[in-house]
Amino acid sequence: MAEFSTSIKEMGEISVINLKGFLDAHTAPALENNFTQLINDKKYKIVVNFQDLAYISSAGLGVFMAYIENIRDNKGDIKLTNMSDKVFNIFDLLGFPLLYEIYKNEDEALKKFSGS
Amino acid sequence: MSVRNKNSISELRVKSKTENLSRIRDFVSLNAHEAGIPDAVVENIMLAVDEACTNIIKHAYNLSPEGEIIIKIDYDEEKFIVTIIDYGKSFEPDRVPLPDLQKYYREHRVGGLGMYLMKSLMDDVEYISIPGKYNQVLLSKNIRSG
Amino acid sequence: MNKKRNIISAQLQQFSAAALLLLIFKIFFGSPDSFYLRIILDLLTAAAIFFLLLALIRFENSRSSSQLSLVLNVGILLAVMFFIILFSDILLPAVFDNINLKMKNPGLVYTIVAFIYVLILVCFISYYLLTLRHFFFLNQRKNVRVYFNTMLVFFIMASLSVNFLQDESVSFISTTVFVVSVLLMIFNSLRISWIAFLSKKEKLYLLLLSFVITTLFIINIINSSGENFYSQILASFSPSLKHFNQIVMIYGSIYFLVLFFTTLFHLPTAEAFDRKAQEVTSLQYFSKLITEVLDFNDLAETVTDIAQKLSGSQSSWIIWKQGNNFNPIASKNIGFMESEKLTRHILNKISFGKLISTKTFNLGEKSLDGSSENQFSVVSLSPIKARGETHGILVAAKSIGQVFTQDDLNAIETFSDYASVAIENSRLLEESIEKERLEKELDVAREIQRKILPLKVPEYPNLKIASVFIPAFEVGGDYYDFFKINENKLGFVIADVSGKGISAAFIMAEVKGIFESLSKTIEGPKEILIKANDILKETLDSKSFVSAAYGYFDLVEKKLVFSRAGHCPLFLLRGGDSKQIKPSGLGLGLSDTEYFEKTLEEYSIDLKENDTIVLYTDGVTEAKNEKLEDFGDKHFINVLQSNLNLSADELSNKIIKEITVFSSGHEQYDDITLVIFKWQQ
Repeated sequence: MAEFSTSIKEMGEISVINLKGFLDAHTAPALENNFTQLINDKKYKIVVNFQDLAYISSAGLGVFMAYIENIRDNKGDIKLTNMSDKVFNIFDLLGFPLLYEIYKNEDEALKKFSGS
Repeated sequence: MSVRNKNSISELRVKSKTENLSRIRDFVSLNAHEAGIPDAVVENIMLAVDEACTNIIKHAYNLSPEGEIIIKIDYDEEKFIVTIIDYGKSFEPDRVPLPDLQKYYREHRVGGLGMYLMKSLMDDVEYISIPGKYNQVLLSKNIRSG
Repeated sequence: MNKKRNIISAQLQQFSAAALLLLIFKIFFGSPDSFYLRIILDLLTAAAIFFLLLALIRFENSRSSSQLSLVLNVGILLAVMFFIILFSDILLPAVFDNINLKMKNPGLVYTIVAFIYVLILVCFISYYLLTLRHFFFLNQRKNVRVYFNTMLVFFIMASLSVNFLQDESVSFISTTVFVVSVLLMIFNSLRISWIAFLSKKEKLYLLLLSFVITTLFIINIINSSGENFYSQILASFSPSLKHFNQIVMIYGSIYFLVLFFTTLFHLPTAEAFDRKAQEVTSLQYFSKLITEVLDFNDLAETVTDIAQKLSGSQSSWIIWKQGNNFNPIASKNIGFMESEKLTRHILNKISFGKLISTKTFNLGEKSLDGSSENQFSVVSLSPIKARGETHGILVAAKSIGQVFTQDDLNAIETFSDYASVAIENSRLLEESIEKERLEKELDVAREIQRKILPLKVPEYPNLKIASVFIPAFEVGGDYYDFFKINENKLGFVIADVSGKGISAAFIMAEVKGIFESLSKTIEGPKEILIKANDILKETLDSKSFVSAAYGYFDLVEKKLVFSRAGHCPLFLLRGGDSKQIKPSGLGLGLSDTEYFEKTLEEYSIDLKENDTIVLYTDGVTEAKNEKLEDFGDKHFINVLQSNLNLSADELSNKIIKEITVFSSGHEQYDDITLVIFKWQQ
């Protein structure tokens, strides 16, 4: 019960990361690699889809916090979508809704990027 | 009515590696379900224990994989209690001189959030630290039956 | 002390007087043949010895020397005596030429010298007799004086009879008396039970000494029967004295011979005896401790200390039950990690509550993680009980190659009973002290709580306010307050401190102080909460956590502005609907300013007619019934929904009534706070 994987698909300028499995202190580095890679490739418009994410701890949240400033400084953003209630509660508890845009589904987030 | 009282304490011993976090979560989940705790609450307890153990791996053992972490679970009608013991560096979450605390939180903001989660998700969080001997975190949740 | 000295010196004076008389007698009468003179001589000699013995007895009583040092003294004196005898054969002829003649016709000088010689010998003999008497009476409970005194009488009779009854016809009397004396000596020599109480080392030492002393006594007897000067001088002084001397020597040799063999046969059991004696002293010591040492930790350490010694074990500790944990405490001669490991191993194999009496438990040869040899071969486990319940296990561990004898186990069993009583007493005492302390603390906490909550609600023409506060027994940490910012603005706060009792009360008081002062200078709720977070971050300890909501009513602008720092959401009842308002915000005191600020929202509501604002703490939604179910959000919303048009007071009463009915089967655990505002334009 420790599996975690990500897959990235390109939707034009926007990169969509699909999270699957359990995001904790052990598996967080994998997500960090994704972000580092994207930043290296100057892909600053990122949507993260939580549809298949079963679990997240503060280590996972920390990944977003680590990269968001850099990404926003480069006129990009990380938008979060498709969270289960359980995952959303954790984000809510930590006040994330005020820091990040959280959407019910991926399309809304993608539209937001195009709009801006 | 599910069986409430535990006859003996369940115990899990693992090395201080992050790859053991999922084992720890499973252990908590198993026992919490045995105690008849509803899923939503079980998830909260799992997360709180995850946060506590992550802290231990990072701070008590400084990411060394050689340390030992002991997780003990006991419950009765009223409380579900998880005790986590480590033999690493004492972590004094109490008063720390002002500059250190700010620096700590600046650099380890996530660690602070972890603690926040523990406190919000559990009913009681207690630390005991015996320097040179062991540290103990006690997480307890008031549970209901029926 | 002085009185004793006086008595001793009185007796010494008597002795000196007798001795002097004796000397004078000797000078005048030499070695008389006359029967009556000889009787007088012997009487005077007896008197002198008698007074000397008395003085020595008194003297010995005032100094209590150990048995071994007495024995040693006897040995030394015997050795000295031996040498005197040895050398008198050489020295005396050198001092007196033609000594044989001198003895027949003694001059003054010779008499005096001979007298002094005899006096020295008499002192030695008295000392031997005294020591033998001392040992005889040692450790005797009954009144055994009669045996010793009878023996002495026979000694005297034997000495005299040899002197005075020399006829063939009556020589059987002296033989009989002599035989009886010897029988009495043997009988009295059996009183040697005092050697049982010596330690093994002392017994070995005694063995050696008694062997030497017996030999010396026997040599002395042989010497005094021979034809050397020693025996001749003694005989010429007083034949009775010579015989008395021999009899005392015989007694001495018999006594020390018996002593030698008895000590020899005591040796194999000496060590076991030592342990038994140690056990008794330990138990005595511990009985005293039960009443003296009241601190639990000190007591536990004493218990393991004694247990380890009593059972001859290498290490000892107590497995103590604290709530749901079992921890090794008061470890003696064993490291913490080791005792932890062994404790766990033991608890895996035996059930804590099922241990009724002392049991042994073999540990395998391999160590528990298989990595190295085991240090201990076997442990004994004794329950520490109170009122039928086991609170702990007293563990004693023996190293490889050693076992617990039945004796060891009996000792530990008895001891653990003692220990259980003592520990229970100490625990009860600490508990009652703790209970009293807690009660006093709660009194103070309630007082603080009472003082910091507002006495009455503010009154405004268009804003009706109702507040209900029901404290939990153990002081739950809720706080609410109102601040008149200015004529048109009313600030309010509602907060909940985690934890209970006096520590929660102190934090409540601190929170009150913070909000009171901040509300005077800062208007915006978000800004106030940010500052409050800054302050509380520094001062809160690890166990504490404050959720709060702060806002103000602007009566002119007709709006409500507020922020929520991790607290329960606010309810707005408007137009037949209830709405939960939950702006983002973390609890106070845990995150740094930057993050706290980023995640905190400020919310504004434009007030409409009959708007009702409900603030509460989780004591409301988490009130429990006898089935331990929560009152819950849904139920709360239902109550609000069903009573939308009531006034603030009526609504608060209704809610409280619902909660009371719901939770009547269960004790109130947390403070219940309800603040209701109703806007009427």
